[in-house]
Amino acid sequence: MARAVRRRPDAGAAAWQAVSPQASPRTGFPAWALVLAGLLVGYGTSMAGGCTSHGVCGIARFSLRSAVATALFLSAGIATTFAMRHLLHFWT
Amino acid sequence: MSPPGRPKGEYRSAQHEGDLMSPPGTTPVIRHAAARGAVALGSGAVFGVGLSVAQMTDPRKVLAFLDVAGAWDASLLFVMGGAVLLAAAAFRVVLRRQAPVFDLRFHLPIATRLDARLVTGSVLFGIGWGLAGYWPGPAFASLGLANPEANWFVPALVAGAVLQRWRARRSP
Repeated sequence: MARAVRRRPDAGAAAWQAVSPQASPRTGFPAWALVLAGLLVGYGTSMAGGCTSHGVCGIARFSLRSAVATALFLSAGIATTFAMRHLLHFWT
Repeated sequence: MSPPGRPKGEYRSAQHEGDLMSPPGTTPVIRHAAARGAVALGSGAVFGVGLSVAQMTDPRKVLAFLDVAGAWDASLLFVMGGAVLLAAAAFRVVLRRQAPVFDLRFHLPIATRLDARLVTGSVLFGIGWGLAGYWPGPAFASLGLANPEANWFVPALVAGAVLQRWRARRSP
């Protein structure tokens, strides 16, 4: 069972897609940005001890560490999006 | 060497550091292995369905939330706010128990100090999040939605996490 979870962590979404198809995927987004973003998200969440673990579970347990982590990744996300869209005009 | 009389449904694990009741020097044993797997599968399925119903699997929607200077889309705030409210109520009930149903004790984070790892890691994650519009949950859910972007993002996500763990082991 645990092996099945590791093999198909996406089972819920796959079932949902069969019932109710989602909006078509974004196209034309550069692969280098996906890879760079993936590396940063993987490295950062591993180092900080989670994403949902802080943003949902930690805040729900009134953890100060989680509140700080959530404020930081939200701020960094907003700043990066602002820079890419409105300063560098990489994409809209 | 495994402890004698291991109950049915248990299996060995050298890595798991959870409910280890085995004496030192023996092979650790995970209790309720199948039940725990079933709970993990169910939780993952509910999480995946939730993310895709809320369209959090669409990076355009996520970036529209982060783009406070553009056409701001508050969806993520409601998704996260709803999840936090429900989780806060559920934690209050669940943590009244002595232990989880399928474990010998709860495994809650014990760290309370705001350290450099927390700060640096959160900022790096935020930069990656703002760059492409995925966090780990929706990235894995996107695999199930046959989103080709996940084929780039998810391997990089795993590689980043493995690299971090490898570096942390070398210089803790």
